[in-house]
Amino acid sequence: MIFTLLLLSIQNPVSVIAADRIHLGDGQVLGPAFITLENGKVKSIEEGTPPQGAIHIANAELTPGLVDAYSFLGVNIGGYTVDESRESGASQRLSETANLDHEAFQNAVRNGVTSAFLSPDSANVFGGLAAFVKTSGGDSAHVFQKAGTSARVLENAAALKITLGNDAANGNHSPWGRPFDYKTRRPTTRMGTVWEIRRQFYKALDYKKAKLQGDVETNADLEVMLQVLDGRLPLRVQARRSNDVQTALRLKEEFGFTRMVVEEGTEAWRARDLLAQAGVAVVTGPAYDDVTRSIATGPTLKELRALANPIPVCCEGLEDPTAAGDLTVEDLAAAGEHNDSQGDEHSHGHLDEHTVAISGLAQDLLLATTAPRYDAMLAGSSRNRRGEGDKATPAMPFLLHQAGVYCALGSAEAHDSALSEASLIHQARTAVRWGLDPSLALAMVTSQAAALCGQAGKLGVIAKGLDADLVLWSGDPLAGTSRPLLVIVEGQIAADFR
Amino acid sequence: MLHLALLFATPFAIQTTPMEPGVAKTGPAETTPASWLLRPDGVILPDGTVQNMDVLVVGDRIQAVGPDLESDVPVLRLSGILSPGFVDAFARISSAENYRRTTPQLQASDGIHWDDVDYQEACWKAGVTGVHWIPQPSNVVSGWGTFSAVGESHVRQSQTQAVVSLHPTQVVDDRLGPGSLPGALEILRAALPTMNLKGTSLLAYVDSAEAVRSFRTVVGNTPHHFVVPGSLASFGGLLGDQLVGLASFEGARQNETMIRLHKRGLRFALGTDGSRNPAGMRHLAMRLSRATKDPAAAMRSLTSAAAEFAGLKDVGRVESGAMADLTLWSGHPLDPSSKLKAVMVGGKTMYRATPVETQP
Repeated sequence: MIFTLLLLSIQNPVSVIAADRIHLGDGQVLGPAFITLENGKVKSIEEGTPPQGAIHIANAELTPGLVDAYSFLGVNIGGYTVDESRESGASQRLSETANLDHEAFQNAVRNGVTSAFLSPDSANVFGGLAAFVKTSGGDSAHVFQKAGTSARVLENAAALKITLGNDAANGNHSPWGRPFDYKTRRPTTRMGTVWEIRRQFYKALDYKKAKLQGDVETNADLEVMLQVLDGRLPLRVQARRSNDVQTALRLKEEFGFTRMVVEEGTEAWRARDLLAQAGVAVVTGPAYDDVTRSIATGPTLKELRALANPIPVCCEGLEDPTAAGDLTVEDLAAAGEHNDSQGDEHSHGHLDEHTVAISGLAQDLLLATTAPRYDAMLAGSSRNRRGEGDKATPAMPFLLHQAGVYCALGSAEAHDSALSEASLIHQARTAVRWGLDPSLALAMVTSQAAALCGQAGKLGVIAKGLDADLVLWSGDPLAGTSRPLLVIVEGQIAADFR
Repeated sequence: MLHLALLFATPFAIQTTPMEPGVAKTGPAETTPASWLLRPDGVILPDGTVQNMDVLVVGDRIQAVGPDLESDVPVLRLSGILSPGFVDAFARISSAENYRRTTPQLQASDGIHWDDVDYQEACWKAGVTGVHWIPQPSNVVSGWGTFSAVGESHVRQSQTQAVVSLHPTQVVDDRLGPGSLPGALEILRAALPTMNLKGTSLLAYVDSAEAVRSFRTVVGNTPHHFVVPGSLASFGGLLGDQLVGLASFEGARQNETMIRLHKRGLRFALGTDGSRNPAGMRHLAMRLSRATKDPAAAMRSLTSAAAEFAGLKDVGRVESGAMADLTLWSGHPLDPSSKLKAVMVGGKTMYRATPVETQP
């Protein structure tokens, strides 16, 4: 039903929209104010009472349309948007092969995302040219899809993506004992991946020299690399482990990359001082995603023990540990161990005669085998996220900011599912829960995100003359109870949940 | 050697059909081109509509089409509807040369099996008089198409269209590459400047919105037609009023998809692709006609639009100057109860229906 209403409401221009609080995206917040739109642009922003006929919902707050600085919207991961028949597809444009009609774009719109950076899949060392899109307003290819619900490409060369770590080497193999195919090649290791990067960039430097000397056959891939070396094109480096992040920084030093951004950076917080020193920005991957792709670590055995042996707060004679203040997982774990070591005398009282008490090694075995197996769920996945980034923390945006690293948040595949609890605004909410200042969290999904996608001053802020990409939230956008009421892309209603 | 027009006039007489075009060439019809004024119950015109017209055939071409034509040549009153012979807009020759990722030097004309009598007969029985042969689209650029009439042992037009494919299941190669669409695009991008299209066009196999969008960015203004082997639902919205090659129609909500695309002005050219089943074309046209309630458009998709698709100007049409490739049907060709009565190719008898019963 909601879906039908949503479809019916598409393509309605909005002229005036008011809100009790308007977050401009750059940290500024206006009191009761209203925005006048004209031809898909913001015509004026005025404080005060809105005129008759304005869209005005009590307690609603307005933000710029969210900018997803790192997404795989419409990118068939492990599939058809990257060509694995050669390692350096630097000139391949994701804008040409991304599925712009994918429902992920509509999921993103429903979650307030109005523009997104599409990152090439990590199956190759050089994944190609990233795209930057509006999530709505493109020509719909599907015969049964409402017009204007597909994504629209704004930039077809938003950055060159390269991949460090294991993803690119995954699947490559040495020739022994197998029939020849195009995956019989290097790199097959983390080191080999970096070798390939060096090789290609040095080739590009030679190419540059040859070009200066005289005629040389144009090489599209090397041209792209030259653009990166000359600082005309940003470089996106997927690096998850902290040692990969450090490799990226070494490459930056070696080749003098001026516009490098670390992508995903699961463990970037461990190299945060180095990143700050080098002035390299980070676009984070999702802190929480659906369970099969979560980068958040599953519970440790210690934590599972704590959960299995709750502190007997009910029992007389014991101090109520919750009275001491907020409990952390570590506290619980410690309490669990304490409980475990004293074993039977506490827990015994809770058991009736039919229950067999399990403790010690037997209990650990049981916990270990019945706990959610994140690793098992990921086995066989080409995107080896869990295996690579096992030191993840949802506090990363806070830690990076604290260290002075410019940062934006990304959703990666979070919008692929309509039910995801990991959509971009959830990333910002999680970051706030883990210490980040709310206005900064909002900036990391709006103005800062736009800046890291080469859209500074164009998107991610509400300002006169800019595209009217707006989201009206039912309350504070960073409150867990708020939801988007209205998503506007270039003055057109793209999603309506009023 | 008797002339087709005579067969039209005497449909139940037993005659020898000149199945061997070589024989026909040496026959008397060649030395003295026969002329006939055909007066059927109705004629299917290039716009697909049925009109009451006379058709003047001189030699291998149609000289005039109009109501109540006057001429000195013998007038033949024909019972039934005269239709242009159906044109198979794209039929793959059976051999594939996919040792390389691009083979722009190959020509389908060099791979046609001219003496495949069974296939010729199947074509005639299905009302098909012309076939646009294309090389197997099993690599990114597979070569040149060619047009020949069914029963003639020579090419009517060579180098009709250059055949390319961005269909991953056709072009992906685990050993040579490409591995997927982006790789195929790169290969196409590199190959295009080396191909001399000389005012012809590209025939491109596509299977997705991405393939359509990216193909357009690569080829720019180069004239092209898409062939769609599977369902059109997921990307038909991008095709507008283009002329699209269709060999089958699969997938969910297929009739509704056809209706919507027809309303948006999309035009179809029917081909047999790899099926080698000429009879399927008429069935597909019947389905199109039933779904869209536009029999004229469905007729065009079998005749004039199919010829246009292959870049042919003088076949698939009953009009002055066109080749006399004609079929005679007992009723409208898209009426399932209609029967094919006779086939003329280049002004010569090629086939006539076996009499169901003999009249005394």
